[in-house]
Amino acid sequence: MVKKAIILTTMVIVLHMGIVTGYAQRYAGIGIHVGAQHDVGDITTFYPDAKTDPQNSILFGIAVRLSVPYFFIRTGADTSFTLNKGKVLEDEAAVGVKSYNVKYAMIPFYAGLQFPLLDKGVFYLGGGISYFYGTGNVRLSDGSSKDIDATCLGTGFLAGIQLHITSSTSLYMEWMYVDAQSDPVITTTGTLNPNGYEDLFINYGGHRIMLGVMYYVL
Amino acid sequence: MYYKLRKILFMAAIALAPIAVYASPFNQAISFYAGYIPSLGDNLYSYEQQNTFGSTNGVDGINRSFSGFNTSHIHRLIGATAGINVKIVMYDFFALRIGANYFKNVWGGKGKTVYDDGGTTRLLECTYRYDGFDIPVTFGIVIPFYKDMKITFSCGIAYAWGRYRNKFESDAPLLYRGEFKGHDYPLVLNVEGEYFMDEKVAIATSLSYYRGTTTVIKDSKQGDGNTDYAPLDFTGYRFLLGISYYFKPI
Repeated sequence: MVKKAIILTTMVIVLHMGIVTGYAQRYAGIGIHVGAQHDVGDITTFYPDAKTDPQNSILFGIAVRLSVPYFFIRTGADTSFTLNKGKVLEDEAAVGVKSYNVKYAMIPFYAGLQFPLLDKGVFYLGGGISYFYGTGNVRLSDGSSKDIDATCLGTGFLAGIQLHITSSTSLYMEWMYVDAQSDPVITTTGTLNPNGYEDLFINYGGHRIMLGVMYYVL
Repeated sequence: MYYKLRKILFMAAIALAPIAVYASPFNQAISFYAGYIPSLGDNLYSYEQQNTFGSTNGVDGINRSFSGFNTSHIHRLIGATAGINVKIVMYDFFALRIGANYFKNVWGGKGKTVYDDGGTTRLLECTYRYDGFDIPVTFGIVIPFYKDMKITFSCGIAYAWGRYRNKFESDAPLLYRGEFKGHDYPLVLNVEGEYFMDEKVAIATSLSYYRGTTTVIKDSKQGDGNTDYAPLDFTGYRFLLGISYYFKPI
């Protein structure tokens, strides 16, 4: 019992020292995070008057972060998992889409300035691009289903904050906004497309919130 | 418009009069910024795009492809912006920011699509351009972290003037040109971070969100046989990097 108490107390002291004195320049870190995105595939950019039940997805990803005193570079990879499919509730015949399920993998590349918050953490703000590869499917108004296979590049920004919990690990929270739309990849069956053109593009844009843990190797 | 602009500049001149007294609780900074605007002008809707080319959502919906036609994606516009910003810091914790920014599209907005011309599918070349300037005035809170950095959150409004031009050309033959000029007072939210290199000079970054759209404006381009109508949308995010100079040491 006493042994356990001594070990635990020692761990707390070491951890505390790490928190209090551990801040040093952190050059390279790798992190894992979970996140979420609301209104994935936002069909209202395709048909603004559509009334929808928006798709929601969760994200899992890894983050790689390089930094020098003022600047940072953030890259990594994310993949999305659908919580609920998107549905068109009204004007289905005009839109030509009944429901949609957009999944994607994203490779972000962002760079910007970072601001150390004393020795407790860092706030950062950067701009950049994200590459998307999307899969999933779209159920059309005639009942048929078509697979999504679309890539695109998007531009946006990243704002984040890190809280240093030990000398080499940090908690982080990030807000990422990307504007990204693919080429038209699916022929919808709505009344607005009587000629059978490929007209439905996939909108990967929107806001993402991510929460994770980063380990600094350097 | 001239009188409104003069009024804004007059107010700016009063607000930004040099604060010469060294012991004054006011400090003043000037910043130069440059950055980019994703999705400048939003979807660039205009009436003729809906009426003639079947796109109810501007550049988003005009993209189509069809077998036998060499189409190319028409991307939303990415704009570049540069400007100057003057900030008065009051009692270390409050800030009034007044800026002047120019913006212009630098990427996207050009490509080929198809449209239905009375039962015949035709190739359509599309070009979109957007430029303008704005004068944002925001007030907010400064969070200083010792002598190293400041983070400023502020909100306010801007006087924004924009010019949106589009051109649609097919072998029908058809040539539509539109030009829409107007102004609005969008809401502005801003977060700015400054990292001080010494007591007066800081490298800075800023993220702004503008929200505001004009009423529908009549096409001022005459001679192409059609009159188009479109709103000017200033809504969107702006990411900027820059440098700040404080007139008094922080």
